[in-house]
Amino acid sequence: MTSPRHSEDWQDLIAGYVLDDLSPAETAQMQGLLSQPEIQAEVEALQELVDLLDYTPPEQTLPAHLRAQVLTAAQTLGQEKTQAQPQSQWKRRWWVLGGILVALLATLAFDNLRLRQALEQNQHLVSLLRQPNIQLYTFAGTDVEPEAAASLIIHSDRAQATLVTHRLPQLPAGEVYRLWAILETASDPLYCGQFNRDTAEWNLPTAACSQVPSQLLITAEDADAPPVPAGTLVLQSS
Amino acid sequence: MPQDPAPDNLDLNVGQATDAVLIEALRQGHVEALGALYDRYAHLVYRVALKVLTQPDEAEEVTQDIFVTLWQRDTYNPSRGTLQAFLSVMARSRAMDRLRSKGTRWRMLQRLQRHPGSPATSPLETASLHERSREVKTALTDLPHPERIVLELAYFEGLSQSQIAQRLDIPLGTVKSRTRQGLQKLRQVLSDHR
Repeated sequence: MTSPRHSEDWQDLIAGYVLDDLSPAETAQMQGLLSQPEIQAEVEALQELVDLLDYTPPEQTLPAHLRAQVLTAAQTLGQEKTQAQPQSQWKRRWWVLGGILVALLATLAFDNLRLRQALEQNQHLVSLLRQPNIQLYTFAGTDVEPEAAASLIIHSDRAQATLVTHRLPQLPAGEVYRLWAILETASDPLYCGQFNRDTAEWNLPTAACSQVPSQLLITAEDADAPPVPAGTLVLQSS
Repeated sequence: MPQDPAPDNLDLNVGQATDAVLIEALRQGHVEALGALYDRYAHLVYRVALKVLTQPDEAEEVTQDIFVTLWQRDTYNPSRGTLQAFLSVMARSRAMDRLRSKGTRWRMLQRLQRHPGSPATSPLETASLHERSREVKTALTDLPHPERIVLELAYFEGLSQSQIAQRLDIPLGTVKSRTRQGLQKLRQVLSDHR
């Protein structure tokens, strides 16, 4: 049973023994082997391996200064969408930073006004997010517009909605996208405003639109249609 | 009603927000959301990185790297699992990459310590506990992926065998056999290094 040709079986048994996952039959088999010094030595070696794998150094406290360091690095580096692989080496990061700077300069030279508008828009969104009593919703495209997405901020104090869409096509003249709230307190979808741009802000038509809905929907409708959903469902809140 | 919220008020709202809300706010460029996610998960990320790397300064760098990357290029997809699981996987994977890239240098040092004339004891016997642990974890990077991943999930992310089976979508019996084989292969890799 303990001849060299069975060494693979021993190894498997010993590994199972150290990992504490032997079947009752294997346990019985192992009991018979444990008296042999070579098996004991093998058990000890594998047990040491498991202990070293499982070892965690005692210094487990997260350094207090790291939080500020992370936030400063984030603010300094910004949210550039580069193609670089996320690597920890600073050397690579400098290359990435260099690339970002070159791209940024080119963008500035090419379309400074557009960049400034985007920045103002971002600042406006950030300032909105800093307000109390806001609700933030995200939307995913339906099968009609699978790549479309949107984010909506409802400012309940001001009864205002701010919407940013992504890959949602602009509708032809005479058509608009409409936002509907499905409320538990109402049987029909509640009309909560309309838009036809990738970024829009409007006053909510009724206070009930500030209530937390069970779902929000966005449909494409005729601009002069009554406020009842009849068009195509393009986005729904997740 | 005040026009501008006090900073404390903002922190309170962000601190109570769900992960989904914070991720969305982060995508919109709200750095406070990153701070809240850091407060929630930095301990987990640091613990996993430290477990793999055994060096606090390296675990610190990995932790910073992960949160800055989350901010810069957020690739988290909620449909694939929780943010906690995503960050845990990222921490393990980044730490293992680092271990792998430093493995060659580590082994060279090990060989230098064993040149003729040095004491007969093996480096594994003389090294400190965390150095020995690091050598074992570095050797793990030489294992074939099927065996390596089950050991990594068990020892670095603390998953049970049934959780590993679920994560990898393989039968529990396969997890058991790969764990055993992984341990044996790890021992072989370490023997080859000596």
